[in-house]
Amino acid sequence: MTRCGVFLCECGGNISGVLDLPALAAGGRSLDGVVNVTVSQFLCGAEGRRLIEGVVADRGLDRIVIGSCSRRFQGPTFERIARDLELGENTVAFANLREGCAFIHRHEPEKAQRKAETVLAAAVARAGRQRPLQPSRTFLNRSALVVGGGIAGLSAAEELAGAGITVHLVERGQSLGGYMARLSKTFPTEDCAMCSLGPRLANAATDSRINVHTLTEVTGLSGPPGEFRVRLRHSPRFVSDQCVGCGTCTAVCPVELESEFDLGVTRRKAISRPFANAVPSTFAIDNRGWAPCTSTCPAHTAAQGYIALAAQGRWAEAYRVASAPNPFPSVCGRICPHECEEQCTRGRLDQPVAIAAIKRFVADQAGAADPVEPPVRRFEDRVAVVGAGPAGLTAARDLALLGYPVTVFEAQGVAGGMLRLGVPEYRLPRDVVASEVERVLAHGVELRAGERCGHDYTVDSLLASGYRAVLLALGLPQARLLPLEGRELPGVIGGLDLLRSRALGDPIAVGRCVVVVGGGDVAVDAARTALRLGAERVTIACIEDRATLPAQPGELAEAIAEGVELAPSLMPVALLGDGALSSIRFQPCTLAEPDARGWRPPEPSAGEPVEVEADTVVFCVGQALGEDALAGAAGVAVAGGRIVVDRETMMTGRRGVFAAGDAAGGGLIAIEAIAAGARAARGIHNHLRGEALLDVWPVERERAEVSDLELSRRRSRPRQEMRVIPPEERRTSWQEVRLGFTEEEALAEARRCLSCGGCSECRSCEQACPAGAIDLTQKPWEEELTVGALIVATGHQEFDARRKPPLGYGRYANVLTQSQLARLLSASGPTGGELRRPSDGQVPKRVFMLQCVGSRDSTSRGNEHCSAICCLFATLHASLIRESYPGTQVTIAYTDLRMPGKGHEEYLKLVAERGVRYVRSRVGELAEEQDKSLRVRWEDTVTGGKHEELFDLVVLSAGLEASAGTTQIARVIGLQQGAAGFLKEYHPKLRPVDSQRAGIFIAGTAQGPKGIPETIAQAKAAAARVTSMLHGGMAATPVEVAFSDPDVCIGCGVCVSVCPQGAVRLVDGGRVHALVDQASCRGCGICAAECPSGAMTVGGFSDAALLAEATV
Amino acid sequence: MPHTTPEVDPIAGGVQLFRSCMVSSEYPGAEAATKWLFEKLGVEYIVNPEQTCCTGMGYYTDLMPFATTLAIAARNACVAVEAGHPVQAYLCSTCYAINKKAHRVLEVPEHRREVNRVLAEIGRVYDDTIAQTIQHRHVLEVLWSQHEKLAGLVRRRLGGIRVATHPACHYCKVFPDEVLGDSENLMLAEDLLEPAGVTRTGDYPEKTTHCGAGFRQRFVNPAMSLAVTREKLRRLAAEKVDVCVHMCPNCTVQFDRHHDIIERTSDEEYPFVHLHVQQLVALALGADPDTVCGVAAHSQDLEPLLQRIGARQAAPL
Repeated sequence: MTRCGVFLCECGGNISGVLDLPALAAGGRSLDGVVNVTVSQFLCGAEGRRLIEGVVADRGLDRIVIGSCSRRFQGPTFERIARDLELGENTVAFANLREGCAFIHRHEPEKAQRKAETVLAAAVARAGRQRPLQPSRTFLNRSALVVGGGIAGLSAAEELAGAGITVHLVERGQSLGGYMARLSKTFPTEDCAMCSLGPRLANAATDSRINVHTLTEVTGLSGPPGEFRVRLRHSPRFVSDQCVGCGTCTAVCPVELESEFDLGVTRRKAISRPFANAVPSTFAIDNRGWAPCTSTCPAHTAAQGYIALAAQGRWAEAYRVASAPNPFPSVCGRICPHECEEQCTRGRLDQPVAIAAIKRFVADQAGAADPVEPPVRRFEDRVAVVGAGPAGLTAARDLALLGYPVTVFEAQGVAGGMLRLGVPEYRLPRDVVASEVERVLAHGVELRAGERCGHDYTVDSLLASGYRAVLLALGLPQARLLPLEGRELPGVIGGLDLLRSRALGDPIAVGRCVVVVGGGDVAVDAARTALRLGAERVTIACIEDRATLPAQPGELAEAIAEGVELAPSLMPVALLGDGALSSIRFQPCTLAEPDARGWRPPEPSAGEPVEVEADTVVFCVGQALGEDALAGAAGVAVAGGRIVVDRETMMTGRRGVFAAGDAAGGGLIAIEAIAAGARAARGIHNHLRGEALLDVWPVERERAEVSDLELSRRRSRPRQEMRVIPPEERRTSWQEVRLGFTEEEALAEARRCLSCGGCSECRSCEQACPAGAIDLTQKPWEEELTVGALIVATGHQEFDARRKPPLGYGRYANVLTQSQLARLLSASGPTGGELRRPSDGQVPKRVFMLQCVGSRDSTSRGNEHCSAICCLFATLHASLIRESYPGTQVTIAYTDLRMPGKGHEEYLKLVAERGVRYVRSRVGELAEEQDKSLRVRWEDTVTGGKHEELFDLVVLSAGLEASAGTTQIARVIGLQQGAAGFLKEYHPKLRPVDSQRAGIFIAGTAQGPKGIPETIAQAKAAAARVTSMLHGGMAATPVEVAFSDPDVCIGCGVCVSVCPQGAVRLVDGGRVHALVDQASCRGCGICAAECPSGAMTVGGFSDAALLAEATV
Repeated sequence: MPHTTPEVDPIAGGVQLFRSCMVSSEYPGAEAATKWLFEKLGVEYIVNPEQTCCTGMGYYTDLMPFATTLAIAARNACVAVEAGHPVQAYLCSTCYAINKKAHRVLEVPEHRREVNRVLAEIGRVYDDTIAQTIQHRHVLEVLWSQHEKLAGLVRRRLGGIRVATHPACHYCKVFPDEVLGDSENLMLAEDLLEPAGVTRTGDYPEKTTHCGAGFRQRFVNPAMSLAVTREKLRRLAAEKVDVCVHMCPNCTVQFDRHHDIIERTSDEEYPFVHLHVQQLVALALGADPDTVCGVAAHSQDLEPLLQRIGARQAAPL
């Protein structure tokens, strides 16, 4: 039988004012196991401790029941007394008489008394069943992680380092400094913010005990206090430590983005450093992933890069970017179906950027002027490329650039493949193809035209004659004809034959009535070519319906405008004629469901056959490999009419022989063939060098997305439309139909780009950097650190005043927030400290400051709390303005002026005497006038009078909310957030810098709004808490952790699967059973609740004790 | 530009179209267009002959005590629930706010007891079942619940027509947290018209300023009342709008009936017209301007707009 003593606390009247404690004590004495009941005025004080010590000793107690406040509040005080009296852990039980009885039933003392009697009896019953537990000892790692590099984090780090604790200072931004780095001066002394912050920054950069991790986020936390294991994710800076901070890179970077550091008051480059004293001083590239255009392009062309350069008229540099992955930018600017434009983010706002047309202008403008320097020969391994189409020529150029001698063999008399022989000149002029082919050859590539593979040479003969690798980029030069009755009639031709004959200038004639069979781009090209060759009537007949026609819609529309007729959903069944073709018969059809290859065969539908007059029928229904092309190429396999290659190496079944383009892929558009050629070049290089030096498939970056919200803030600007020759003129002309952009149009269109990806990967910085510090290959990386404790100092963010639309923030040029004004007033800010209003750069004569924006606001769009600093922040800025610009009037419209704190009220008086007008008021909607001044109406809440005045500049004192980083870390490490996202402290008075989790402390504005002195005081308090915790190197672990009885456990593993800390594992000690790592266990009890065998218990929560408590 | 109005579920079981005194007497086309749209979009609705006026006009002109308004709102709730259509869809924002407010006030036991004492005389009771069943929706919210069907039903494209919203105060400001979208930049009306290809204005200076009607202010303080209206017209003209759309007949009366008068007396031009949102949506979907949209009841000359959008020709099928 246990000997239990009950101690009841009056709590200075808090409890005894409601409960009848003598009566409660009298009842308590009759409870089983109770040997003593005592009432004290303040049990938690020194006198209370002496009382407990005395009674325990006199009466030989082994259990204590405390009837006072909540265990959460004073539990540790009494548990410590029991520990000191060597009663052991788990020997104290608590009856919550204060919060649970006296406070909540203050007006119902009888109910409160009855509840207290029950609560006390339950605690006594529980105490009788509690078994003393022994804590184990754990090692403490003498290092700390400080999250957040603002003034709070810096102060805490400095303090910890001073105490000899190793600090890891983690900041998600690119520099330390936080919010304070943005400020001009600080109140109430009006001293420069950077003068206080600068030395802290310098200290962090130079103190060897402080390890600075910028661009880093905490992504996970495990392990017990004292030995936390923290996962960090470092984002790449893309600039190495070799950076000397010269800034050459920003001068050449073409991408301008909103400056986060200057809060959108100005713009910055994609490579930047937020401020001069930044730590680290290394610049960083803001790469948000690939813009949708780059992700979509099969060659992953940095489209945003050449567009950014084009927007600045830097044509030659834009050409360098456009031609880097693609030797045919001028060609692709004309004929590419530009899927990139379908995916362009701008399409969600108004219309996509005309990417292809810009590319065409860039290439036409700068391509000819860009000299080609033959690359340096680095290797002697000769490479043969068979086929001078886009795939073959791209591979040839890239191999030449890698340093290989390359020979290209081409069956036709001219190079260019389908670009030269398939695409008609009204879409793609011959000289455009010729000049880009010439550029490829200028890389030292040898061309042997008119030599046909399988006839004049074979793969075997090439290898035998010393070529170390052969690339088969043969294309699909053979037009397919359908096996229809009448196929042999004169007038039946293949589409490719028609186009090739025209391209080579061979004699070709078409009849009066031409029917083109097929629905792809080749069919449209053939139809428009037939029209230009003099046909009177041209019809495109295809098995698809209008909606699923594969031809590019733009091309088809142009063809129809020229007079080509379209006959969809028809399958040809016979070619009719007596000696000469006279007509073609079709059956109406629909398309069946796709087969395994995705092909949808036509199925005849109801309806009479249709007969169409035709003296020429052109089949554009697919292409095939040339006959005999693969003679003498043993080991090169063909399946489904295509050469089989290994996707990862681009090699065929025969070692040293590669394939790319249509011959290996089938039905590729030009840019797909170009991408395939480039992959083949990399595959060949890896093969010849005997190691995987290059990624055959480029490593893709994440796709950069622009949110709808951000997009809705952008202004609509219509797309430039390209001029074309009118249909009636062009239908008989071979002149290029689309006329391209003028320089003015190209500039205007390029400026529509939204720069989705941030950095456009144009690599201008890489070329300009004198230190060679740019490294675009950097990747995110993770690491795990072990630290004893954490301080979270992730700061705040300004309330987004856009949430109050009537105030016009983000819409009216001259409405700013106080933080933005701080940037304008800062000597290091965008105006060098001069107050200039954004709309016209003039010094404002009338400034209006509006307080409590998003603070003290009970509507759902604001926060209820007072942001604490705004009255002083506005007063400071008003004072600075009045001092520098005596001719400028400043009005501060406030709800109440709240100036607690040392020297603050005096400062207010001083500033008011400087002529700042304070009006107690409620403000209605702001309205912008034509000259961009702002009309403000307010009600004076002292007099009730209504006022209306014009101001040149309005400054909103937007309140403070927890930063995004605070929410992120709270989620990752399991901290509780209160109103407006601020972190909850363990106890607002007694443990104000402890979080809800042991070993994790909080400081600064992440905990709540406060000024700089309070922030620093709190940071140093948190550092002191860490220091005291880690002092001594060892600590007792809590006893309230799980334990699995190996004799009872059945080894089912349910506990392992439910434990949120990963603290349980199964071990095989002759028999499989669960084992809890008690250092990692948080005592949540989920495992015990789920355990089917009853083996798992949590210290202090035995079934016996809980049942005893619950069943009194 | 993507729409910003939040998605809502279709209303199960249909609605009771809560008729409005002002709509019926001033702009019957707004009601007819609403019914026409409900039918097009497949919204089941009833018109309940038992329903009576919300008394908003009487209450806000100080002719009627709130207790009377409260009792009538309670009765209107009873008859709607009895008719099996507890979702009341309001054409008028005053009806919306009055009934919604009454719903809240009737949660107070003292007020409910007093109202039930009166209702007992007509054999009715406003009890928990009714309080928990009755729901309040503006008709635009009901239309928005079907907005995905609109694109496929457009018969007259309104390309090039710039539309701005005058957000009704009694929709936006009485229950700001229950508005569909942003109560300080309401986009519901413009988002409904987006499938028709209109150019949306979005936010503009003084968007949240009221129409100036102020119920009795229009009559007892006409100079102040019309000065507010004029300010709003100036702002809308600066935005170069073609149509200002409304969601409350009181606002429409203030603007439509006084537009020309203010133009004449101020010697300014405001080259645009006013319509109820439902009227313009119905026109885009091919409704007849006269028999469905009731344009003859408007004071402004709507013919140029109707010509411009092709509403004087039969809509293509």
